[in-house]
Amino acid sequence: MVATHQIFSQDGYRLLQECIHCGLCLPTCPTYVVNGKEADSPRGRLSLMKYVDREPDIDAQGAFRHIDLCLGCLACQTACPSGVRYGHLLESSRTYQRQEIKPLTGFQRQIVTGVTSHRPLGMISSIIAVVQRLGLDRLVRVLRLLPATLRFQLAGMPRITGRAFSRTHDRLLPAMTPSDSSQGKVALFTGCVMDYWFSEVHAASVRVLQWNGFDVTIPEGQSCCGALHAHAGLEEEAEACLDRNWMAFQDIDAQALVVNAAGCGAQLRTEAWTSRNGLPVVDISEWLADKLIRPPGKKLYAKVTYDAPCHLHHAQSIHKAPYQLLETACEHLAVLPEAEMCCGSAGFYSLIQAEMSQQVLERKIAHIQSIAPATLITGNPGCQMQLQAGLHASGMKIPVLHIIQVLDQAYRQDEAYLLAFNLSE
Amino acid sequence: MPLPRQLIKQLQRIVGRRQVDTDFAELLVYESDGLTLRTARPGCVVYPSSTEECARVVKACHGAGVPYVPRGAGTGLSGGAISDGGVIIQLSRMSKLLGIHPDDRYAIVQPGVVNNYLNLQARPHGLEFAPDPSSQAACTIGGNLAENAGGPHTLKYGVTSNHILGQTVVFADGEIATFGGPFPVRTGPDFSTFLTGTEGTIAISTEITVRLVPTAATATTMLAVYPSVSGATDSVSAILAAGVLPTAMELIDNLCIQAVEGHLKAGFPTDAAAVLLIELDGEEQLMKRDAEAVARACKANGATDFHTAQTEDERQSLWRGRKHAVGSLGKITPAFYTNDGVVPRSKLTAILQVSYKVAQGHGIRVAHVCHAGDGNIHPLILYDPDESQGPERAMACSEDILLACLEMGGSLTGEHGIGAEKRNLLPRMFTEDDLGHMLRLRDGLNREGLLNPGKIFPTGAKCGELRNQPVFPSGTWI
Repeated sequence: MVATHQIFSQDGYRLLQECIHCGLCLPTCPTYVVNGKEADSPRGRLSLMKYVDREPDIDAQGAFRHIDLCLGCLACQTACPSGVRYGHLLESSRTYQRQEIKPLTGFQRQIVTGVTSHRPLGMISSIIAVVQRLGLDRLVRVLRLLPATLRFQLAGMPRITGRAFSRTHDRLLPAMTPSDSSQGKVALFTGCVMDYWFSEVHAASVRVLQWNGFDVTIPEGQSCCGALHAHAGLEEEAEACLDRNWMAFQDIDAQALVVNAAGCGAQLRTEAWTSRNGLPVVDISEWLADKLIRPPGKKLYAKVTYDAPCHLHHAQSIHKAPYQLLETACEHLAVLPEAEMCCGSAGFYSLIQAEMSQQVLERKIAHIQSIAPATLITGNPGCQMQLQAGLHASGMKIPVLHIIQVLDQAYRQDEAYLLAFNLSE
Repeated sequence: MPLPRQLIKQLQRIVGRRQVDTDFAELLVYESDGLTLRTARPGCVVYPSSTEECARVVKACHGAGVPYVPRGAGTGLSGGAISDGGVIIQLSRMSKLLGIHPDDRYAIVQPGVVNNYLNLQARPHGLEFAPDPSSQAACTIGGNLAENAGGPHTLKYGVTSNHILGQTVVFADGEIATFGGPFPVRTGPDFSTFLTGTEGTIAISTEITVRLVPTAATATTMLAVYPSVSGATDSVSAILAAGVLPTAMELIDNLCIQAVEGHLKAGFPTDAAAVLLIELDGEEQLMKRDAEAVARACKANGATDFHTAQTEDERQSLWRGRKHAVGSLGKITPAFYTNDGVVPRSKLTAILQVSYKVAQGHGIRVAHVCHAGDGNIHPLILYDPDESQGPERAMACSEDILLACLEMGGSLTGEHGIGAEKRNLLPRMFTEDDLGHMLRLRDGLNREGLLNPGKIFPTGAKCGELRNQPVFPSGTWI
């Protein structure tokens, strides 16, 4: 049988064939769990990819409706006994889709590039900061001034300053290089949304790293990691992001490139980066798990629970490190049921596929309710906002923090730490 | 032929528009279950959410004279859950755990509950559902019941039929009935057990009462490594002859080890011809004595290494390797076919020799995992679906192995069912007369033959057409 391939190369097609239809991925897939349909399961989607690839007269639009519903959480990759590289196949399909079936509209493209590049993001952030300061965000929600999906997201946003951490960290942090800087030097990845909206996470990261003897450098010229572009099928733009970051980091003398956003870490860890033999990319939890030479003297007492970001647990296979770190900082770390299942954030998914996103989130919120923690912990900006919005909508006043923020909180119980970083209690 | 529009509308009224799939892409993905060799596309897929909805769906199909097939997670390996142009009644939305009763040790579940999920909920009570098919992370209790599924640990605890206490079913005409229940108030014949293993050809189970057994407090898992396959198979008989009944005794051969270690890395030595994974549970002192007997038997039969898992992590890793062994074959082949033959335990060494030889004769690679303690073998026949005659050669190879099983006094299936896959071999097992009786029984309860047609019984199974010489003596039933 001579068949032409629409999507995949011969090698890509061989990767697709590694799926032997066993179905072990099904119960780990959030969309399958929600609606029970094979077309919305990883196995079903792989079948659809196979057909679009091999049979030109198939209803590709219909097939992509189901591929579009994929969160890209990669839980199926963790479950797969054959090691099918689902994420890779998904991105190939989406690139094909954007080129041949349904290109992104100019507006959609603008949103992706706008949120991820410094200047427009800075402008958006300044506006949001003002809105927040004046309390207008509450007004917007009460008066229902924006579409429901945007209002929902707004509720999950942290309080922001409108300035990028990478441009203000000199003022935010005292220039502390601990005298016992015995563990060497690391570079911190600041990213895009993290940089503007989660500067607190970056600040906490720097403090905890320094407190544990690391010299932290924050190279200029960094950009977005390109994950959102890649997930949207914008292959070229994603590569451009990677190139910019490569330029920023290639001459940096450090042991590792520490990333504190799971999504960015997963994106930077792809072959395109590792094959260039540059700085090894590590997630901050994995980096610190066995290098915490000064664990917190006193643990936080309140009950907390941890929701694993998909791009940490599934995409980077980092399973134990977050728990190890949190155990050094928390007295009561409760296990969240289905902690490895997606929260429905998935980048722009929560805006584009709002209905499914909400259904996936509802399941998550119910599990959190069953634990009733004082704080919910995660490790990725998208998850942090989605979970915060979900908790807000269900009337639960539970803050959502990054792992490193929780560690920072535990350290703040120590006078010397407060003093060293010029912090008030 | 497309399904009547009238029927589609009727189904939409019963379950809601969004719970009836008719789009091409949506139907395409239902063209096979865990067995990819047999494909057929359904005319529509419908997702009921309760016994009542299910019954109304069945009534509608029955009224329209359209065939219908129940389906769970689609992990089955005999093509039992496919439909050629008919209606697939997909039970994934019926996945509620209706109740766990730890004091009386039973649970009531809807058919779409995943085997592992039930265990996850039962374990905090110190209980579990014993049948543990390798697909237990995904397969459903409804499917376990339909196929009378086994699994590694059923060597000691028995297959699914030993663990079904009762069920509510929808018959082929849409009538709802309940048989059995949590407590042993049994008068008359045991219909619930009769229905277990009928592969969805007589009724659709919509509410299932299952037995829960106490989880063993401690278990010992051992790995014996062999330079030859026959050393491993001989050990199996030797262990049982020594008076030990392990909870599980699993054989994995070299090619399969290669696949597992290629991605999962469970810790099997890649240079072994075969390994035996043996598990004991129960009282500490007894287990220790048995473990020594097992070690002696293995070493006496040529085990070059004998290792007891020291930590729970190690134990889990070994079991993960075993349970995901079949799934991991994607690393070494684009497709394979899972054979499910059974032989008396004493013939295990002989049948594996035959299996390797037959495969060699067909020029095909074959890997093996076996529930060795049960004499249930799974030759995994590797092939390339894009190669001309690839699937046909794989099937021919499998058939030869199955016929050898029958000749040794075994059977065509240990736990995967006959389904669409082995129906034409059934006359090699049973006499014409016996098949006729079985068919009459099925036809009495599935009068129009609309519920899951084309499964179990040979196509065109008019009694006169079955002319092969069966292996089983007259009077033997499936």
